[in-house]
Amino acid sequence: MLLFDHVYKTYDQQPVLEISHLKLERNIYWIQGINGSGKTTFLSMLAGLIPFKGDILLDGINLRQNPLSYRRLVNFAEAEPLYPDFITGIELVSFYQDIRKAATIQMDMLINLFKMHHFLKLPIGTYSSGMVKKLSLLLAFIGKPSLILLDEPLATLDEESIHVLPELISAYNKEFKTCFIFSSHQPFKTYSLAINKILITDQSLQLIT
Amino acid sequence: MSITRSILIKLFVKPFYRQHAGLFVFLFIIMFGVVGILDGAKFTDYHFFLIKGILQNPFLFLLVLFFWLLYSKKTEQFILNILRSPEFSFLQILSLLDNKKLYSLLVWIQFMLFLPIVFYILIIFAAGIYMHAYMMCIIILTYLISLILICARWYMYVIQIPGISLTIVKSKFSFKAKETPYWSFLIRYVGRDKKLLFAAIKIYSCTILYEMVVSQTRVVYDLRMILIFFSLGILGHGLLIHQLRDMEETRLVFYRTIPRTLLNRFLQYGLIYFILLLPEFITIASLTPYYLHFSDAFLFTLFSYSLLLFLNSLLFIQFFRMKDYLKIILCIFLFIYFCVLSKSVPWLCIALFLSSIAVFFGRYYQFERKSHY
Repeated sequence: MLLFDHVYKTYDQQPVLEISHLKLERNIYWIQGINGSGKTTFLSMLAGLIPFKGDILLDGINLRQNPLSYRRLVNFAEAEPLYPDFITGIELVSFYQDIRKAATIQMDMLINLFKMHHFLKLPIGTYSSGMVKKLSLLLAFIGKPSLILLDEPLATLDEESIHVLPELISAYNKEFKTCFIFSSHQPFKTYSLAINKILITDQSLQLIT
Repeated sequence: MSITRSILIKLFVKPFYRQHAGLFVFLFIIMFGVVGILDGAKFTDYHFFLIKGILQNPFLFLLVLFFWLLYSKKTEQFILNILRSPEFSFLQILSLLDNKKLYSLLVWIQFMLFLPIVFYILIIFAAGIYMHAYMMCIIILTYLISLILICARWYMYVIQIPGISLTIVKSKFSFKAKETPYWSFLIRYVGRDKKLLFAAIKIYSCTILYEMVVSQTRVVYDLRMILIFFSLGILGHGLLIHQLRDMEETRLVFYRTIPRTLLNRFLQYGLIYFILLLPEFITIASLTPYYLHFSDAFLFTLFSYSLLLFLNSLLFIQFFRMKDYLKIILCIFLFIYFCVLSKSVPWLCIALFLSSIAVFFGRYYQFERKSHY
């Protein structure tokens, strides 16, 4: 369960998000809002990327008080991921696998699913933006996180991966009870998913079930 | 000047000098700012002896040629990064120019990027002609022209055949790869993209340390002046640290979301700066105990290490712009100067080390680079 308590975020004294109290169950949430409404800020806060005021608790673990335990539960894929050009995809996957203590069988499954064998050994500098995006999504699914955050996961993805992603989300949600929060401006193939919507307007969140 | 030429200068030459302004200022201070103070030698005498060494000592001569090669590699990387970045994809239109025109434009661009070297080569020529070392001058001239022509030809090739790469890729796939530690990403970044800056800093700090300790301690064992000059080299690492942190905040952002303790994260930086300081540590070790007492060797080691950790931690308070960061570094230098004169360097080292830990642990999770939205 994800709990927000008096969460407040500003940029240069300008309020961007204000969540006095919000409780989210382990479901799948699609966060919506116009450009600049604070979707990426919201996801970055949840990922522990940027500081904020207030408390965010995941399964009772406070991000501020237990940053390490909290981070063990959360994976994040950025909207426009960037990695050093000289690192190979396989190195990053191994790096994540080691830290997330994930099984090799899971790696094989994800690599097969995203059809990444043929380029994973190449330096990331040689990847197209779609390949980098696939890599960031693969990294987000490594391990058995309680919460996976996906910022614009469909952007630059090929048609096949666009179909794979909802299936993967559904499988993780059923098997590991993983909670998903994603933002997307593109239509999501929702036929296999029970999706709740969160709307960001006027710096506040509104849950639409 | 034609419109194409002026656009290319705006796109390649100006950004190159703007981006590397810190490095050029650093090199300029080393080459022309500091030497006038050393041993009371005259500025012109110093450079004459330096050039004499270059022209007469084959090892030094090859070393200089090697540094020019590194510099040309630096310019090549800069140009290729621009040519391959999406926002400059319109430059592919250059491939419509006829070969001669395109090549002459690119030679001109490369010549402009080589101006600092050309400037020093002119001084070498003047000294070389005075010394009647005509053959060496011809070799240098040939080498310089070759570097410029080869680089320009390579740019032309990339423009005409976009997507070409020199990287040879092994295609065999096997998933299980060796685990890559985080610190190795940053070390590889230095080794791959910051070779020149790293080499310049190391040459300065190690040479100054070695030469000054060897010549000074024979006369009188007073390390104060050495420490001041050595601290300039260590502070020069600030340029590298700023670029490392910049890379972290753009291309290694994910690391912040990784479950790692603060201690583990701090130790990663500790290891990185230990590795970066290895040349200095080796130099200090080679001077001990014949020229340097053990206690002073330890002091130099602790001083350089704690200073780098402190410079790193500073960038977790705020990601200062380079010019602001350099101002802070200048203030630190003045403070070091005061501490050296008041013989309180050991206390300074302890203070730097402890503050680097305190700042890092206090600020890591609070840090946010502006412009996130």
